[in-house]
Amino acid sequence: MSHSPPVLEMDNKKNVIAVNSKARMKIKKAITIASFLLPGLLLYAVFMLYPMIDAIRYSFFDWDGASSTMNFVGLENYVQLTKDDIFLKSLGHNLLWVVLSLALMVVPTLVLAVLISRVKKGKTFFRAGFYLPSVLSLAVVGVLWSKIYDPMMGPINVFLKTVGLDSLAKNWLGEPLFVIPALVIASTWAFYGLYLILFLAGLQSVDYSVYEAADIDGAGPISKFWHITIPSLRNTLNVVISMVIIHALKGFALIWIMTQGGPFYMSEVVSTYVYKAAFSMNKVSYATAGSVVLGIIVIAFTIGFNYYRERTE
Amino acid sequence: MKGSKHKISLLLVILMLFTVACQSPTSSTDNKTKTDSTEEKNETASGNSDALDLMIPNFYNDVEKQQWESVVEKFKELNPGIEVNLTTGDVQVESGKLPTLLQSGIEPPDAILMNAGPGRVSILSDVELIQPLNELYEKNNWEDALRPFAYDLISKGENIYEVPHMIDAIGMFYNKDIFEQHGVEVPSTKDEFLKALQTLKDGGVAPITVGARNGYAIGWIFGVMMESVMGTEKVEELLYGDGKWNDPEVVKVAEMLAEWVEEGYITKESVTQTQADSKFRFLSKQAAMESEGTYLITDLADQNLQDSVDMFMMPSFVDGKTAKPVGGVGQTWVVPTKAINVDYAEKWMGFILSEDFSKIVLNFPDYNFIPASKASMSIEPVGEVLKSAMKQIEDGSGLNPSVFIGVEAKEAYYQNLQGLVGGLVTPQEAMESIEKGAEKDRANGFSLK
Repeated sequence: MSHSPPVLEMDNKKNVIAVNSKARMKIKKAITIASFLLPGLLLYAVFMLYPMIDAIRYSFFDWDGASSTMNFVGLENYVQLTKDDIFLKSLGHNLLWVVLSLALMVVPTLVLAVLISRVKKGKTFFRAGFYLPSVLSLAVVGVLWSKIYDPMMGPINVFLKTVGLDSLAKNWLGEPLFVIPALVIASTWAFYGLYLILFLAGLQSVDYSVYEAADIDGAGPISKFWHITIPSLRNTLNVVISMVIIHALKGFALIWIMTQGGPFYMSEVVSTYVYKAAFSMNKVSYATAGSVVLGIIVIAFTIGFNYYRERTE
Repeated sequence: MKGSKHKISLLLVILMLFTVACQSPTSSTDNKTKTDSTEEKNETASGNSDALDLMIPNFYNDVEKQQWESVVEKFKELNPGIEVNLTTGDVQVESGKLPTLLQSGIEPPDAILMNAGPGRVSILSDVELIQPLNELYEKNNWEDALRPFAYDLISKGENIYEVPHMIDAIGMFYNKDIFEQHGVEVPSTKDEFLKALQTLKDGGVAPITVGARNGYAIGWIFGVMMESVMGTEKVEELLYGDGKWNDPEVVKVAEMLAEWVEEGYITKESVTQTQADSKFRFLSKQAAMESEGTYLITDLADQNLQDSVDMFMMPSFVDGKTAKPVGGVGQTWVVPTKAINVDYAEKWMGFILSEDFSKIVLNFPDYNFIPASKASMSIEPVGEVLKSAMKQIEDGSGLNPSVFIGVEAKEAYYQNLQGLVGGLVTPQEAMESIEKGAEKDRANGFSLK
């Protein structure tokens, strides 16, 4: 029986200790990382993933929201949704809402942010003033704008009638052509402060020397806006556009307060429709299927937009 | 390693806290027995097992609030030792708030006063959110304590889930001073009624205001019109029999509604007007008439308008018939399945059907409900408008469809009536859509037969 020399044995021991301590370090590192990540992940799992997965599960059943039993119906709820005229109409309204929101929210807010950033005095006043609507609850905003649009006593119609433009005084929330644009304007008013602040933050990070160089090259204000401001705000714009799209697709409170989806389904969107189906009609699984469809559309929009953005970059 | 152990322990504690926090107080107790519930009595937030928790609709004004306080005082006087916690809230099924409250797992009140009707109550009873009261009916002989008309309406099915609180009487409220100004008398025939509408319109006043944005409010006037144009029997056939919403008689009523909007008898703007807006318009004398129930009486008292507002039923358009105010059971008591103090709820509902209750409420000069109890039939109310309404429904009332139809039909009913007022749908299309909703309800097992 041969014995390894004591020096070699010592080296082996050292190696083993080194490996052990490396492994221990790795475990320690992993635990440290996990201890930072776990609370967030746990919250996310409990409050987001679990309800989402459960919602998908419910959409394959015929649960009424309260009974202890439910039957598996497979894709039946989804099949019914494709035949449901009101659901399809609601989806269409959601898409119209997205288009109008993008048009009314992104460009005007960006222009406003640029103008405010140029103001020499009272910048804080304008920032605070324009941000003010964002701190109001949507219930307040809804009631406020309902009164503004009131066909009889609302200031818009009163003004139009006073200046002799009676024919332009409409029932803003009662006519099919106007109801969604009117709601989008109210929604825009409630949220533009938030996007304005995002744009203002983005503008602060634009290198001022680029503007100086452009000035020397004789660039005009529109040219500078188009060739410097817009590209510099690319990331902010992406965030804002994504947020506008997501908000437009999942908006509920304002519509519920102002029209409840009416009149005659003219402002029905998926969120109001599924709310009625779930809580007024006890069709929880059917409503859940509708929500899943909306969720898929929101995710698809967001992924699609980000994919397009990355490709163009 | 010791540090890691601490971290893992900390995480486990957090996880445990989450699990506990995410558990609702009554979750996983779906099949709890009454014994369990009684044991839980002592663990309620109030810690007062002798309290009866009641939930009633939001007060419209201070007059209602004071009336309820007096009623509760009387109950406490008759039942010493029982505390009463009276809370108010949205008790409409249509808004989804009541089903959500009962589904939420939060400890529910012992009894809830909700907007009545099989179309509403069934939404809760079908999914066992409220409990059947057959045993209590038998034990307390409540059948005999109710007006026969009210008992008939709630006892069609195998189980009884409600104790009617009041009978609705929806008709036309009118501003007497506006009528006088324009030389209009209370109409008693179809022609007189139509003439009154035209006279008021020609005089530059809005003849009828409607809060069509709230489905139930446009349902009130349409129900009144159905009663007048079709007659009670035809409406009964539609709701209880084989009648269809797209039958020519019903389409005729829809055409009349559209025509009245077209003629300017009902303003087109009504489509976006809430019931509150409409009531404001009526009470501030901007419109001559509004279709309402007796609930308006407390508002009249609140604004000192008792002398200038009165009520009449739209005359029958059918020769030789008399139209009755529409309604049915207006508000009704239900007991949530998870209610704890059912015995106290029983005492309360017994009190509501008693002579004591009727005496106290009908002696308020501005009381706005017609009690559903038989005891109230022999008591004359002090208030003039209520007296007149009670007289008109002595032999029963007409039917307000909103109360008697299933969920699919009701959603279609509200939306399509709004569509008619807004000129967004034709009468025929509107009635076809409601019939489609009713067909879906029938397919889902909804029936009043």
